[in-house]
Amino acid sequence: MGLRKSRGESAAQADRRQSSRDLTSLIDDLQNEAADVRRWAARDLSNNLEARRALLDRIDVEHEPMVLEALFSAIEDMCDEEVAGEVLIKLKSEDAQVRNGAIELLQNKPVLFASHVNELLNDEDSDVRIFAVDVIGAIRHPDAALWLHDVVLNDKNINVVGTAIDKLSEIGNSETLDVLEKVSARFSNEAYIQFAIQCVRHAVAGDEI
Amino acid sequence: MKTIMIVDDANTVRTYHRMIVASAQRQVEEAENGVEALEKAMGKQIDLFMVDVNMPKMDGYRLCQEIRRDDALNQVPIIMISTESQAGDATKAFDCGANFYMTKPVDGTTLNDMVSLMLGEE
Repeated sequence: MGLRKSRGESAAQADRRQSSRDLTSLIDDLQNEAADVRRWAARDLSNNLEARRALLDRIDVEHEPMVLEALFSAIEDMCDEEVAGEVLIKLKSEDAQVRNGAIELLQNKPVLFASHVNELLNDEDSDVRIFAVDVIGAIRHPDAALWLHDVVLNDKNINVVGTAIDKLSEIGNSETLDVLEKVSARFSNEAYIQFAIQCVRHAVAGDEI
Repeated sequence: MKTIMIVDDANTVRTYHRMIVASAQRQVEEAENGVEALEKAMGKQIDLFMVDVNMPKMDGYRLCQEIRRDDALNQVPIIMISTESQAGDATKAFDCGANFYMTKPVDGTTLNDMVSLMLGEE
């Protein structure tokens, strides 16, 4: 079965053809009231270093999910230390779509993420620490289990620790069970932590809960 | 038989909440995010949603809004369960259509009592 182009997509392509594709016009298009135009502009500004500032600024005010996705995609391949610093700030956004975009970008940049992991895991905002743990769980970094062990042994927030234990059920190593013995003692009166630790033990043993 | 949909991206949390609320009179469906929850709810009788806030693809606030816009689901009660504990979070949850707001980790008895109330159990 063939794929039919939607009317919206056709209209967007028509808009795209009508609009000039030089840098200034494309940056102007990021403010266009039509979401499709903004999305095409973001796509056409991908990897354009001169558009970096405009793309990052647009993320802060954009609410259309498909445009946000295009904006994060556009900055991904030019994500150096400077851009990474801005992406880390976006983890604190009030907009969950922006936070998710930042998390997904960091998941695709494990080396860059690794250079900021201590900063994120020591952030005063427990939600940022949870997002960092989520990213650690998603990337295949050789130090991932080590970072999570550090979190479960030292973080004081039960939800951060709970999230880290959840991730350890997937990426834990031979030291994880010993580490969790200590965590169990740290949170001996917390039913959820005890349950989460049991889940890891079952996962290691190959049992089903 | 009542059906509860638990929506959370953490497998351990879903399993924990399932353990607390499942009973002979309640069956539980699970979804990892808002998009999956809406897909699984399509054409099914859902009696209660338990929704996390921070999830990939579609977060809990947006899921609440989508449920309230859906003709088939807009009367289904929603308990929002979040790790966030800032003052404005509960208000935001209620603005999006949640009926009740709890912070993680939940107290099992409190959650069970709230589920009973929302399901209209004796």
